[in-house]
Amino acid sequence: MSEVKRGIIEEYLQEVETHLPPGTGPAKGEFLREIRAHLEEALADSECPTEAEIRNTLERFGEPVEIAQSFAEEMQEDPRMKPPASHPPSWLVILLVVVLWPIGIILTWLSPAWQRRDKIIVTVVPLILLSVLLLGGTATYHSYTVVSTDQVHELEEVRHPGPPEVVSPAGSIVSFVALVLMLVLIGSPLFCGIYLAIQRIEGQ
Amino acid sequence: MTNMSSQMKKGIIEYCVLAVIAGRGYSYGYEIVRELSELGLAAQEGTMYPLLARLKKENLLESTWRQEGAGTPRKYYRLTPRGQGELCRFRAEWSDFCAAVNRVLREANQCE
Repeated sequence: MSEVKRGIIEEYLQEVETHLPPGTGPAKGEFLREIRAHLEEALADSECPTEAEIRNTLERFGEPVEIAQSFAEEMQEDPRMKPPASHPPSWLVILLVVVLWPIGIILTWLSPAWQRRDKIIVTVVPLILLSVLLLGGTATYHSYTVVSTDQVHELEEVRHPGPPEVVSPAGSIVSFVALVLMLVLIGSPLFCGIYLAIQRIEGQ
Repeated sequence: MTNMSSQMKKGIIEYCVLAVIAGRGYSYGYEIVRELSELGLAAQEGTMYPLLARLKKENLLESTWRQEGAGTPRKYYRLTPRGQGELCRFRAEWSDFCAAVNRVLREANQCE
């Protein structure tokens, strides 16, 4: 399809988008993508559709203004689609996700601004990271503690009666785990915030 | 009369969409629109998509994007359990409604 012909479709989609109501979130992006898929499929039968064929397909599809209005009406019929005034704005939810992750996540789930998939990602990813880190850290710390205690006993037998002068490797492991833990605790909410912001921008 | 017809269609068309999808197991916008257009139930193809968006929002449909081969990605719909329940309920109500209307029309015919 030539650039000119592709331009006719793009112009049509642009006109639909212009007349769509604001605040319909990800549904709006999905809606436009679906219309594009329909038009592409409708024109797929002909290898090189003429300009007249494209215009005919678009005419059959309907006036962009009417389609956008129809979308607005259908969405209005469902009160869940329009976020009630009690919902905090998206920027506040994102900020809370970064600063106070547990509270931010609860608000994310209550907000209609994101899809379920996004909500699951920002909830599960930090929890998995934290669990893996805590389990791994605990196991490593435990194994080093056991080894170092055995070493202390051995040295106590050799050097007795003096006190054992052993620097336990568990200490450095604890420091390392604490450092990674801190990075995860700061990094995960930050990742979630950025991810939610991107999804929000893409959905608009 | 045309207005009444369009109002009637508007209320019923969503169940037709559910029925088309239920009949195929799953379907995508273009296929649904073509089938309903051929039956004269979708005057304007584009208005089917806002309807599909609402049915999905009301949790009567669920959807997933899929691409087969090098073709255009399609958004496939299928009925949720709630959608199936709604369709069953409508089927029963529609059957009763049609029977009642037909009875009234038959009686009116006898009077003529």
